Amino acid sequence: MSVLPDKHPLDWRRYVGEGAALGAPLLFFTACFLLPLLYLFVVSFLEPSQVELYEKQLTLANYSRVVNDDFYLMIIGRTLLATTVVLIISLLLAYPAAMVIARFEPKWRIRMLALLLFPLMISNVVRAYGWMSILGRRGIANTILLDLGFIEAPLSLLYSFNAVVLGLLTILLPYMIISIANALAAIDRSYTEAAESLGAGPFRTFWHVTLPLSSPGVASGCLIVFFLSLSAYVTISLLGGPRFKLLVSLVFDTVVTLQWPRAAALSFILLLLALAGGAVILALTRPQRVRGRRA
Amino acid sequence: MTEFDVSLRAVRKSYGDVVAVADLTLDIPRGAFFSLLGPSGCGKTTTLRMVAGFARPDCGDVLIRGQRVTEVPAYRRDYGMVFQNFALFPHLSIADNVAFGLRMRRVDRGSIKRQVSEALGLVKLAGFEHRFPNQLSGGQQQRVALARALVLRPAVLLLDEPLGALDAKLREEMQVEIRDLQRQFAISTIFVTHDQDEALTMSDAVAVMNQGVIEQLGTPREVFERPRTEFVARFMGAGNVMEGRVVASDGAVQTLDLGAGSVRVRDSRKRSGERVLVTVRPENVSLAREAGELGVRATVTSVVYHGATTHVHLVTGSADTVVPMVAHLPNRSTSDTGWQCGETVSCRWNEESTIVLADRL
Repeated sequence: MSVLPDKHPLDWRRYVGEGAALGAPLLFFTACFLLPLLYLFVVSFLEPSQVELYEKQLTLANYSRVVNDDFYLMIIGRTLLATTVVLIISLLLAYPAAMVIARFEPKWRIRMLALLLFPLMISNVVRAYGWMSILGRRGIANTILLDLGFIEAPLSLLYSFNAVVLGLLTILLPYMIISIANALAAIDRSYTEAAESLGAGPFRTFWHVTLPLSSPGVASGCLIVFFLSLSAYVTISLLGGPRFKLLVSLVFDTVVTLQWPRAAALSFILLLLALAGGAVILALTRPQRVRGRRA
Repeated sequence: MTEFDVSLRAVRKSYGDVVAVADLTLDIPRGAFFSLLGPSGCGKTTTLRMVAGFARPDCGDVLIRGQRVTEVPAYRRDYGMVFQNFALFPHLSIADNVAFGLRMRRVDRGSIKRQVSEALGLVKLAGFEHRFPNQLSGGQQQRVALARALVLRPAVLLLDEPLGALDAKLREEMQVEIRDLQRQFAISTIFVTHDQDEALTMSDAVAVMNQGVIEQLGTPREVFERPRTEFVARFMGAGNVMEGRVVASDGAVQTLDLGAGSVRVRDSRKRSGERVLVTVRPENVSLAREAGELGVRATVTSVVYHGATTHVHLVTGSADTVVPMVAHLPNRSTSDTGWQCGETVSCRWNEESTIVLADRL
């Protein structure tokens, strides 16, 4: 089925109109994103230079250096672990919440989803500092625990895996909830009723009907959370600090030390992780099945 | 063995202040095709949903095959249902859709495969096993929905306006097909519809519902030809409802004065002087130019050609109460069709066609 309405092939004015509407953003996107990305890709295969941005000399060293260095591999593994944990926790927390929200009538559902967006209006920097004042050595958490006598010396909560995961979760959870709630609300009641009429109890109705039919929302929620957590710099650098760096922090560090070709290579490794992770998410959630296609 | 597959015992269901179904009692005999007919909001869908277990009655009882199931959840009740939008699972193939209920009952694989292909064969969709619902036409989806419900051999088949989503031509085909399948399986069926033609052509019995109660229950013929109330008469398309008074009674035949003329009625069990509400089906009305001893004076307001018939719209009654009437005149080569707007005519029908309604005046 065609997405665009039928039109006369000679109706050139509509082609011009549609071309202009699509062309402007396309031009902007090409000039300001695709071309620089291509440039960056080329740079990632060039020799570093002490005086210029790069030497005009092709090499694979920027990539082979990363792949053969245990430090980089450790950071890549840690990045994948942290983003996967954020993804799984946000999915487990978001799905039940989304199921409750989806049951409300549209008027209230929209209000609840708007409420979820409210924390997103506060800058990530402000929120990261908020967590720092809670988790820091002299932060609220340690002060309370010390005062109550649960601990004798302050815990080092900040600059850790947990702090980064916590920080990312508070930012990304609303995206996951909104995405799943919208998908659940769009499922016609007759599907779950049909399952019940065929003898499926509440759990099996959920497992065989509701869960697969919500897969587009789960997929888009997971993709958003995964991509944003891979590229969230502020939260990771403030809450991870010098002790808990992820790949995105390394890109930044490499740029500020003016190692442009290696920074470019690291960026592409990050992009590769994002694409691979996205492919895994789509393969697991199979959102296309609600349109009756085999995965 | 009880003789009723579904029984409702004084069930009532309200939503807030709105009474959807009011103390409804109903028995569906084994193997019957039973229609719940009425306009939207009359309670027919709520009644069906109470049988299905999707709506819980406020009071009263629901029985399936003599078993009280009022508190039994939907998934433990013995019925199959076809939904208005068919509700085929879009993520499952046709075979998996039909197999769904069998899987839920943990039937073994070989048996599932055999029963699924048998059911698809019955609805003439053999070979469609591996397609998906969105690759099928409306009529084919409808048949899959029927196969999915019937493959479980349930005690009752519930049909919730299953033809509403189909176009007119397909609807007629599916009417016949559904009826054939129903006879073949000899399965008790409750069919919810707002379409009187569907109810008449398909049913063994029709219950016409209005505001949560059954106004009339009978065979299609009874409901169509002998409406009991003004609501049923109007819903079945007999809009000629007039008030009158019995002026003479001659044994089996009574004469009614309708103000704009008099008509006769047979066996009305009404005495002289009693006020009555009567109706006559439009196809039983004939028109004459000359006034006679019997007949209702009326003025032609419009004449509409309908192919096999011509619909003549008229007004009758006195100055303070205008009563609209309609006559459906057959178009035969010999018929007089020269009725003119504004013309005064005499509407006549025979005494068997006068129907006395039970509404209180």
